[in-house]
Amino acid sequence: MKKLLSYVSKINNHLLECSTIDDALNLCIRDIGLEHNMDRCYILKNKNNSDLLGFDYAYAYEWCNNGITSYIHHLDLSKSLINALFSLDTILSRDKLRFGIGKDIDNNLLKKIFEIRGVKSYFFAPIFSDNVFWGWIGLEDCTNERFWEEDEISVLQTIIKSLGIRLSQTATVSKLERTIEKFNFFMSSSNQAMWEFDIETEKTNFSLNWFGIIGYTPEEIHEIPNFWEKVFSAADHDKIFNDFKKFVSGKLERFEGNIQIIHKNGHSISARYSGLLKLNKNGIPKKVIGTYMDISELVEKEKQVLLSEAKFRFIAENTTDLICQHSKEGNLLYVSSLSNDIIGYNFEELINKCPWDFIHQKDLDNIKKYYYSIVKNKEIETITFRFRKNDGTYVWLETATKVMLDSEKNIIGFQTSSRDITKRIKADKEMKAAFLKERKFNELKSNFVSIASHQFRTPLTVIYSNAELLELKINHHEKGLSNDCNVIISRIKNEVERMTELMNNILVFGKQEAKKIEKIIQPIDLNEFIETLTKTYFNKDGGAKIKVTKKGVKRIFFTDESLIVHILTNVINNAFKYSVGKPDPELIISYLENTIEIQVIDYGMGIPKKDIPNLFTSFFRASNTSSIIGSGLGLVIVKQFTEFLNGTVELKTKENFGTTIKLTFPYEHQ
Amino acid sequence: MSTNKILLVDDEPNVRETIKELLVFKNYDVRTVANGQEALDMLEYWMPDLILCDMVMPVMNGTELHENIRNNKSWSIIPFIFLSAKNEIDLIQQCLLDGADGFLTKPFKINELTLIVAAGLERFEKNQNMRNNLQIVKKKDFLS
Repeated sequence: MKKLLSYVSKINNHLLECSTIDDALNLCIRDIGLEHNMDRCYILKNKNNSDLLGFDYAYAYEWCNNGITSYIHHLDLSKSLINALFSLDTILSRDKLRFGIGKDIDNNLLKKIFEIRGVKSYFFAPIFSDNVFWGWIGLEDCTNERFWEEDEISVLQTIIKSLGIRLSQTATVSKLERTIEKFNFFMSSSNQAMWEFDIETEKTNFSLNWFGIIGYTPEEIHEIPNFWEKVFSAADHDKIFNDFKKFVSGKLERFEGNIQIIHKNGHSISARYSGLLKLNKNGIPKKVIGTYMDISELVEKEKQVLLSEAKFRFIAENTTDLICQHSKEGNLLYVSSLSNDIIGYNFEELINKCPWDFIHQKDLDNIKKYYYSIVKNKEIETITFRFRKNDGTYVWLETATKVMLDSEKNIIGFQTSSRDITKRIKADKEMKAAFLKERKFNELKSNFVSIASHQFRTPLTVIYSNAELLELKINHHEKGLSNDCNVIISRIKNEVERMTELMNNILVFGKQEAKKIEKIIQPIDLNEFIETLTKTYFNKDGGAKIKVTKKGVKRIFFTDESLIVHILTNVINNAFKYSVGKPDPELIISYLENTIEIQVIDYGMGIPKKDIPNLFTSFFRASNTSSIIGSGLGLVIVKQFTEFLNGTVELKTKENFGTTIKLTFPYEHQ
Repeated sequence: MSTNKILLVDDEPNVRETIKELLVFKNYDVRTVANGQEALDMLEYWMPDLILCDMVMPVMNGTELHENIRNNKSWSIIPFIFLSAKNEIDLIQQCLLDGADGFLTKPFKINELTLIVAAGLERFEKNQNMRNNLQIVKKKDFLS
């Protein structure tokens, strides 16, 4: 019994004292072999170290008695043994031992192996560590066929259990070691240093990587007097220590902040510190565990971001274009200050708004196509469209859009640069209109000679024929010659007058078309002006008179006098010409709030409805005017001159009832 | 010799009056109207020996009147002379091809007018004689 106890304690000593598990197991199998008079003692280790993954054995340890062949390095035989052990039911054989006489074993493979190895008696037992099948221990007696005593077996069982316990301890320790190793690895490679302050002892422990962050080892932190005053600025130092005291005493809820630490090399580090209070079971503060994190890189990056942001803002705010940034949904995130000048909105009025809400209905389809094209092609594209300003008017913008991508080329937003091209568009339109007008004018000019010559022929015919007639009659000495001559002469005079009017109008018209007419704007008293005009040209003694009425409070009218004379003489002349034998025409001057209105009303023949659309066309004459002398240019000149003076012409007429021409002008010409 | 009847169609009153007076002076019986429609109305009760007609007129122009006359059996032999301010060669040729007996461009000399009128009337007379002779021949045939 004593011997057994000393054997078990010897084995336990090996297991406890050996520094490595290999040494312990090698000593154990030697002593087990010797104690039980065995020739071989060995351990087959389950390399998978788990039941679930199946078994994969390694012939790991072996002790052999003197003169006994070792098989640990005998690949074939150790492999065969391993293969044979596969066939044994390991899981179900917990605490189930296999032992007996070699030649009696019921496993043929093992029987053969035993023959080769010269095994007379054998003993196999599974080793479990933490309830996981760890491996087999095998004992072989190559000398005797022996009977295994119950005591001997129970001793072996105890020892094998001890092996299992030691193995499980080893596993736990190595697991712990690995965890610590990992922890240290992560800590040293991270930019975070840890500290732990014991409230009772007032001692602080520092993790290793303080060295990495501030260049001092934990030992130096302890050894250097007034260490923290050396590495913190005075203000930071006071703040941290005051905060810490308050935090420990529960007066401050959180212990955290950013500070500058001076590295051992002298340079400054930005760090973020924080601490957590650990309480004991009774809820009393026991420890403070905290971290210091080097955020220099972060701060530097933040600085760079701020700098590049500032650069961007500087460019955006100082360019003549409107610069905007949009979210990937298109909403405005940033609008440069020019927004007020270009589109009339402040920055705040546009932020988080969708620009599509401001775009002219007619341009929306184009904008949508443009957007999809940019999203698809991810290239800068330009578009022109109308944008609704604050005052409801539209401004033409030319916008270039660039997509903003992240590192994986996903769209994170858009950047746009827009410029006001309203003036350019207007100029283009004006140019087009001018071009069309020019073309029309050229066409007109080319037709002009033939039209004019045709128009001249009728009066010329009358003049010429009457001259001849006069000649004939004088030659024949007709009776009543003087009367006849008067009639003839009056015809000639009439036609000459018509010719003169035609020629005058053609000349004026030609000048206006060729833009040779200049405006000389000066103030006139319209009441007085019209009185003089009607007296001079129209209201002659004995003939029809035009009745002038004034409405509203008289105001000074800024206009070109000679152009107004052309306009009014043409309009008043028409009123007389086309209302012979009808009530006298009327002229009404109305001084309105913003405009001055001159209406000339006659009660004459009026104009047939079908002719109205052509009234302002050169050389057109209404179909009911063939008996009345006219050039077909009067109304054209009226319209052109009125518009030249920023006025408008309206015409109301009804055949056989009369015509009203309404001219409207602003008081001041701009 | 009876006085030849001339219908003058022109929308310009002064033109109408002057030409009328010239032709009256030359011993023609002249009536005037202001457009093609008025001319057709006149023809219903007054048959001229020659028509002098302006081209551009309101209501019905000279070309339309000419077409109407040429398509009417009773009026088709009346000589039709255009008096127009238009002087494009193509237009004049087209009018003559369409059967006009003459085209006088305004303004014209009184001699030109009287010559063209006289020629037209001579042709009208010949035509009428031919028509009469034809009728006599037809009558004779019928009797025999």
